[in-house]
Amino acid sequence: MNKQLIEKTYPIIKIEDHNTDNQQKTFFFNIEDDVIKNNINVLPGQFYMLRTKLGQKPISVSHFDGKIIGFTVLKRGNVTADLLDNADVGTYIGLTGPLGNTFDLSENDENILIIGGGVGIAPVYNLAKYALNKTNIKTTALFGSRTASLSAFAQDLPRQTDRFESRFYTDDETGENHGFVTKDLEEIFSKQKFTSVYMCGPEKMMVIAAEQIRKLQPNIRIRISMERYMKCGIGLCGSCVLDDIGLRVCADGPVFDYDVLIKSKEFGKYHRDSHGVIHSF
Amino acid sequence: MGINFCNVNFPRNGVLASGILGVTGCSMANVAENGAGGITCKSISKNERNGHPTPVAQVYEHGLLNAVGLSSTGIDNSNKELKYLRENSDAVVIASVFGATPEEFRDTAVMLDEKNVDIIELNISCPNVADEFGLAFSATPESAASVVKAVRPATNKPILVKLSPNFPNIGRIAKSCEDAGADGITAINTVGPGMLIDIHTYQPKLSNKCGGVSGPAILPIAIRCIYDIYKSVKIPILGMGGITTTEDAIQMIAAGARIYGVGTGVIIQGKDIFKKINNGIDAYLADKKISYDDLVGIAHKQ
Repeated sequence: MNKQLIEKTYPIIKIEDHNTDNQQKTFFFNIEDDVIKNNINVLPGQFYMLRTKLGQKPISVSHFDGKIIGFTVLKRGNVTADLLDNADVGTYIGLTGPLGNTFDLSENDENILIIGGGVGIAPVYNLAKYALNKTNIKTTALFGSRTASLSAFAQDLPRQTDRFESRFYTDDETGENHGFVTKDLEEIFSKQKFTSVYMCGPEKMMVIAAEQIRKLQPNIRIRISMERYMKCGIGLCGSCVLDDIGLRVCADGPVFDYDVLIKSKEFGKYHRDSHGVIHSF
Repeated sequence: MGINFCNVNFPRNGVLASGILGVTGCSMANVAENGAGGITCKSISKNERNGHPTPVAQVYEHGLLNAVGLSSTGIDNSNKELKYLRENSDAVVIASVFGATPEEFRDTAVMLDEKNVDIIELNISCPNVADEFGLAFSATPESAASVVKAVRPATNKPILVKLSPNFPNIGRIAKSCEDAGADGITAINTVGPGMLIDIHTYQPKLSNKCGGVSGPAILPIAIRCIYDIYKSVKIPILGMGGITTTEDAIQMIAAGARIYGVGTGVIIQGKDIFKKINNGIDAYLADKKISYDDLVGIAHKQ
């Protein structure tokens, strides 16, 4: 069977909480043995299924240096609450992965725009770090969150160098810029053209951002990381399939071309719960 | 190559097994587009059901352990998904149903929108809901037949009965279903139940603790079951269990399966596994200079 589908259990080696009042933490694991033994490489955009004693949830990779992997987790349901409230350094967590596809930096990428919203910052922060440290691609990264502490895990990125710029936006007044992550798009596109846009965040935010970006630069390549309820995470159960296009977020995604997503009638409109029943956004 | 099974014409060989990618209509249509000739939806219950909490599936070296727990969107939602599948695919639609009693099987089968369903499959062998439903109906010839007898008079659709490998005398159980009016047998459901344990936390790796085993590990069990069933009944067999390659499917057909099915193999080999296997079977038949009909049950003639 495919090695990355087989769960391995690792102890947490470090936890960072960034003063989020226990709302969001980053958990680190040393997966070097898996990297060496099974030739595992974890690329930006991929995710793992994380298992605690209460259940299993898909979580994006926010950090990876070839040996240490990190997952930034927002408290949402009982499994993430179990992680945030009860897990400590030394607690064993089941990791299945890396799963899914990647943001897939294009060979033609020279100047990319990255947009992250909420805990959707996690996978695109990983991409921004990758672009910064492993490529020569010029990068502009925009991160929006409710409050500054929720994007604190990403704030080690340089704000402005000759080929890298990051800006942080918050709904409240705690951050460097007040307002939505999309508010400077017009100004940014007036100064430069991009080869690709990569984003992850609340779906309605991504729809608005993508529509605006296509007006500012028609035909630009846009890659979007999607979130859907996943039961198995390994392409088996069909819980996360997108309507009409028939693609699985866990195994065919989670990252899709915007042009593929706009053919899905549920994109930006609705999602399914654990039974498969439809709910509007 | 088209194929006749239970008096229904399949555009191609290869059936998607129940429980794999069978929740939404477009997911199922997508598998058909990738080459499956028949699609079995995830088992439908009358009412919406939650199934088990996660984790519901764990892969190990030689296969897969799963206990999804018969989650279902209920008959009304399922009818909508089957309608989508019917309208967006040429595949034969097999509706898998289950219930707590023979009467509930019948009621659910009757509530299926018949214009969107070609064949009804009675899932009397799910191993993962024993706490709720007691021993599976497929455990004995009598209990298996009781479900078929309840559903038979209520529908004109061909009825398949899905059998479990986990009880003795699968041949006798199949025969009792045939005598009760079944049109075909689907075999096998998952093996077990089995269990995997985390060696650091010592917890079972599934929320349900145990689950059904599928994937390459169970292929020999499946082939033996098909061989036994073929000896016992005249009705055709949909053979599945551990198929991931052309050679696996050929063995299943040689043991007596009229058509073959794939479940876990779809996640190992990808959705185009049906296309690959069908091409492989065609090449094999050409090489051996035998017809498909010659191949079905050929192992019994040796």
